[in-house]
Amino acid sequence: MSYMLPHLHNGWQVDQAILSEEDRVLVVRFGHDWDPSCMKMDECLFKIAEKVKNFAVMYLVDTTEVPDFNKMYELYDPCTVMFFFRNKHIMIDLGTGNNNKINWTMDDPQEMIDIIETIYRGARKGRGLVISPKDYSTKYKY
Amino acid sequence: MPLPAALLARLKRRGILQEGEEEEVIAESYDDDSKTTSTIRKQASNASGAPGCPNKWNPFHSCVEFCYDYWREGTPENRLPVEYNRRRLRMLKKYPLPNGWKEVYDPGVARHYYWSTETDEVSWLSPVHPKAIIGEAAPKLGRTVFEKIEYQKEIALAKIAQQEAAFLAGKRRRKPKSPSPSPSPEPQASDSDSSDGGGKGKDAEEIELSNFDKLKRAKRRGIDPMDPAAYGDCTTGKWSSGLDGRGEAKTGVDSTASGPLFQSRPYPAPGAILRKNAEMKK
Repeated sequence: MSYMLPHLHNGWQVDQAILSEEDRVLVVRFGHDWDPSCMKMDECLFKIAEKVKNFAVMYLVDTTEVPDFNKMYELYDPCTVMFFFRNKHIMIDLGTGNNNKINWTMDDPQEMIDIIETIYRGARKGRGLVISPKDYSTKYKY
Repeated sequence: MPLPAALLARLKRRGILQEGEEEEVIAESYDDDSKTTSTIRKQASNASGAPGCPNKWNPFHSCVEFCYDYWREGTPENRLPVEYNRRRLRMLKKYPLPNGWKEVYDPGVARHYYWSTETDEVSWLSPVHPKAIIGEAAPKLGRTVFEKIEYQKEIALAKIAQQEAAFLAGKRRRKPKSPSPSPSPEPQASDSDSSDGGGKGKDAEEIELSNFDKLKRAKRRGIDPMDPAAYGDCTTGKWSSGLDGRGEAKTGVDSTASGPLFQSRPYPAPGAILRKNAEMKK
């Protein structure tokens, strides 16, 4: 579903996309369109794009095409989703130990909507770190 | 902030606070022993120098009495040329200030600059402007330059003092040796022993003295005596200063931190990363 979502092709475009968005959360997926985990994530993002269009906007960034952020954002997972609000990176406590990003595939659209909404509500209040509605740590699995 | 009345009365009773004195004076009375502290204090009290000085943008310039007397308050904001204001407003319309940035007028340079209240960086153009150069304020840079020069001066002075001391010590040591050795071997040996011991003692004393001097100097410059800069030859700074941290993922935080500290490090905005990457290429 990656062809349905807008791509950003260089660092400047990423910067401008984030700068120009006044009061919507930016959901940026870093990865590759051909990656199976990214494909799943893109499908999930596309499914909710219409529903959350009032408070969030999605962009896809190919990490090979745009290597500028790989080092600073530590983008070494096949699929990474990061959130920005008003040119600020918003952290989210997912219970995984990494508050900076979602670096796994999330295939439940409703969970993604919940997360984006939480981020939107928190960021609007000036929070830099919000707490995810669901704990994604693996400790409940074992 | 005034002290609470009860505390004020008690301090006065104990003689710590003089009658009619404000609390600021107490803080100042710690360091009025030398000239350097007074200059540093002056800088600290007014970090950006004389308000009307047109040389404020120059990090090699630190404002002196002349700047205050001659330039006074600088150009008032309402006397700026119309053309300048028109161009400034047009730029702001085209590149509006991002959140956390403020426009500040500088009467000395007669121009507006833009200040990030979060990162304390400044820029002459709107930070979104493609030609904007975002960096540290000149007075801030100036202070580091000033410190470096002071440090070099002190090192040079210390070297001269050491050379002089060595020269004097050599003279003194030669004097007792210059008379011809006494005929009996035994007293000579004892003599040389004692002189050697004395020399060592003096050397040790010298080193001690210079260490003491260094500590005194550190106190004068307001450096923590436990800071290696207080007794060693290194300059002041944080543990991380001097390391090449340009490509680091996180900014301003200890990258070796783990646990909750690790989790509370937000990434910089993409614009900041692009600027840093451009810096790396330089």
